[in-house]
Amino acid sequence: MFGWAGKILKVDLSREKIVEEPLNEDLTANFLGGRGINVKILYDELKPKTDPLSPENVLIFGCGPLTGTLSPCSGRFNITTLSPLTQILGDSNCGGWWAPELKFAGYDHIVVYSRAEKPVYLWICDGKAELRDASKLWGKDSIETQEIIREDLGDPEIQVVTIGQAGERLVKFANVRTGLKDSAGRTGTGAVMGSKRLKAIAVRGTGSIKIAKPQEFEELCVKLHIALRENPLFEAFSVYGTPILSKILNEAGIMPVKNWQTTDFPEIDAISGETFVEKYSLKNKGCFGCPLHCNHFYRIKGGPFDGEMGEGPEYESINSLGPRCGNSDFPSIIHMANLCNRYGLDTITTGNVLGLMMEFRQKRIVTENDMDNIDLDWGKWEAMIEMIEKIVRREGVGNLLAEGPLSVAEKIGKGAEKYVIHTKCLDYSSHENRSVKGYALSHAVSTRGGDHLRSIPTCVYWGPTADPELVKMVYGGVKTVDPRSYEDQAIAVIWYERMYTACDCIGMCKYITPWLGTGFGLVPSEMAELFSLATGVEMDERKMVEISDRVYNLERAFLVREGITRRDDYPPARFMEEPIPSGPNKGDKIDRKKYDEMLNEYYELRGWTSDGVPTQAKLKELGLNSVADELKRLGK
Amino acid sequence: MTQKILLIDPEKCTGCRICEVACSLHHEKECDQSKSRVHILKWEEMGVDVPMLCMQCDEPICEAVCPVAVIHRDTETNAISIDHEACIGCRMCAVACPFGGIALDMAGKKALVCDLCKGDPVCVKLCPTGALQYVSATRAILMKKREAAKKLGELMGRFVAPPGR
Repeated sequence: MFGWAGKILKVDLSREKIVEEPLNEDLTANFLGGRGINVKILYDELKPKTDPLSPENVLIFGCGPLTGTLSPCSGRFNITTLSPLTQILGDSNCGGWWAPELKFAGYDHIVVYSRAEKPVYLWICDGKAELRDASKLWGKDSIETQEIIREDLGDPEIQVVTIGQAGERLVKFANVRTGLKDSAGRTGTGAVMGSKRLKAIAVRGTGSIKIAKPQEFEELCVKLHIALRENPLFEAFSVYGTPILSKILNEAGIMPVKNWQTTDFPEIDAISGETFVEKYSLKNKGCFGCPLHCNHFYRIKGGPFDGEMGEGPEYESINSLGPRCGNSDFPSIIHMANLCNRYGLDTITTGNVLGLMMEFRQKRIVTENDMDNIDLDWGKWEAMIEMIEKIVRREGVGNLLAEGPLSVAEKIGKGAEKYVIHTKCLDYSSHENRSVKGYALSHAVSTRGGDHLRSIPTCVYWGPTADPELVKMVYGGVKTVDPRSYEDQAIAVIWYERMYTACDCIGMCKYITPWLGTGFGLVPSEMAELFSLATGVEMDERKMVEISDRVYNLERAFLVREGITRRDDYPPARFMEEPIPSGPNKGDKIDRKKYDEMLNEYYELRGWTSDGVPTQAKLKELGLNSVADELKRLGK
Repeated sequence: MTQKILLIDPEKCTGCRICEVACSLHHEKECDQSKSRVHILKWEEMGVDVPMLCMQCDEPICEAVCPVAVIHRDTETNAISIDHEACIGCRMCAVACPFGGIALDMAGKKALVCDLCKGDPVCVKLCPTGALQYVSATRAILMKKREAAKKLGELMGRFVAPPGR
């Protein structure tokens, strides 16, 4: 095979049995790889209504056909499982260097079944795999674990994915981690790994990825790498990375503050990307094959964290542990992001659960007493750190917080649930939705719950200043879309859903697709061309859309099978009830009736019923006949 | 024109490994880090990334040690070059090189060394930060001097220029 390594590794932890299977071409032709093949395996192998933390759950890792090649930003892999946080699709995409190493070792996917008797880790080296004792790794953080494994196996080039203590203790928002900061974030995939007593997967490979048309592929890659670097926005996106968003989004009034109560953060300069680069960054760091190098290696000088070095943080972590908790102390934000990475905690959900508690305290729904006498309040970062430690240890109130924001609110009662910013039990990542109706739709219909990485139609937000070529690609013609309008949003939401699905399937980072509504980044036709030359399988935009739709509809069918319906596709209560109180978008909120119409339009364009169920005709058109039969049998 | 050299600047290296995969694709027509002539060595927790490749020594020990004399200098690019047809695969060159500058293709049984892509190194072309540069030796040395002297220059400029200018 060209592009793909050509093998799936299947690991049964309780029987200690490892088998490999060829990656069949029916699977690659219909689902490409990564997220697509992962969800196909999950749908087929997981029984509905399985307990996510039981041995019956399946944990799947998958690379794409471009992973590990010269294609820009090709360090990606996808994790797919049943989420313990949301009880629906658990799905996460991650960069770093692990995924290319897995391909060099000879595998595209790993499927993990059942539960080990005692902690183990999986060691894969050039076509061979074995389970090894991990008892001395259990209890170690994610960075220590990688170092110990490299030392034990005597090879500093080994790449590792691992869980920290959070995953071991089944914290519902635990991440799978690799490197100093790369994280398979959201939906608690780390807790599933912990429930299986699988501490890590260490990989070393010296094999090759064959390319169907090497010379043309090299020429195209060189052209695209250089085009990215010559784009006027390259410097901003590369030198600053995502932290540059803090100031941009704050000025635009779409950066959430204090558990999403406001959108205006007066101390913005203290935590801006500019400040980060000036004061803390020592140099840029890039994932495998990435010309953009949005990551940073930092050192904190002075103060309580003097001398601390590490990688990160991204905009999402800065906003989550900073403004959303009313915290403007940058060193503490950097430290906490690093702490979360060590423990393997999702920084977004950590910020949301801490911010939620602070708002509960502000509203006198809880008192300091209810929080084990920790003085958790806006901006009090010492208390935040104390609480993070308690969450990881599942100690006292930390045991409750470890269940995630919605569980905390449900336990507290007194109407507390309306302060949780979530859809389908996944708390939102750091983008205010009330003034951008397309964002409201994209987050609410996302197949992994409230999050921006299924689709974020930035071309809509930037309205008249969006790149005209991009707008033409999305709408098929010249158009100015008002971000506050409910019209013409669904089509853009779907355009980005398709592009992001394709990225996650072929193994490409979304950071080099056209986001922020600019002319920066690779477009779908270029992605299709890269795919064709690498794999020798002809691909064009139309075919890529068809495959993306097949993957997306299968994900939706998975959700439907788990009980998701139309009522789960709505923005959080706050976005529909409370207008934004200040700033440039003051007064904005989401009108339920108009949202309903927008949702209807989205369902229609998707070929789904008014309950949000893929129609029999749509599923059959995409070749998902057995899925159509199953949904019919279930009366959906 | 003075001789160009391939210069590494670890401080600028982001550790992305584009150079490795570009090198193997260009020379071996597949993506395979083990067949790359350049490798990035990392000390992750210290944030150190160092690209390492053939240093194109003035007195190449690999050439001296080769028992069948198939290593010589390319007259055009001045790069170390191995005649793979005549190479017996003894790996003495790799043993002798103090930098690990010779990679070994164990499947093809041959020694691999940077040939500067015939004067247009693909790793340099694709390095996003200039951690790898192919520049004239004189210019490279002066660039380093200028970088080192920058602080002094700034300081002196402050004394020379009248305030407010």
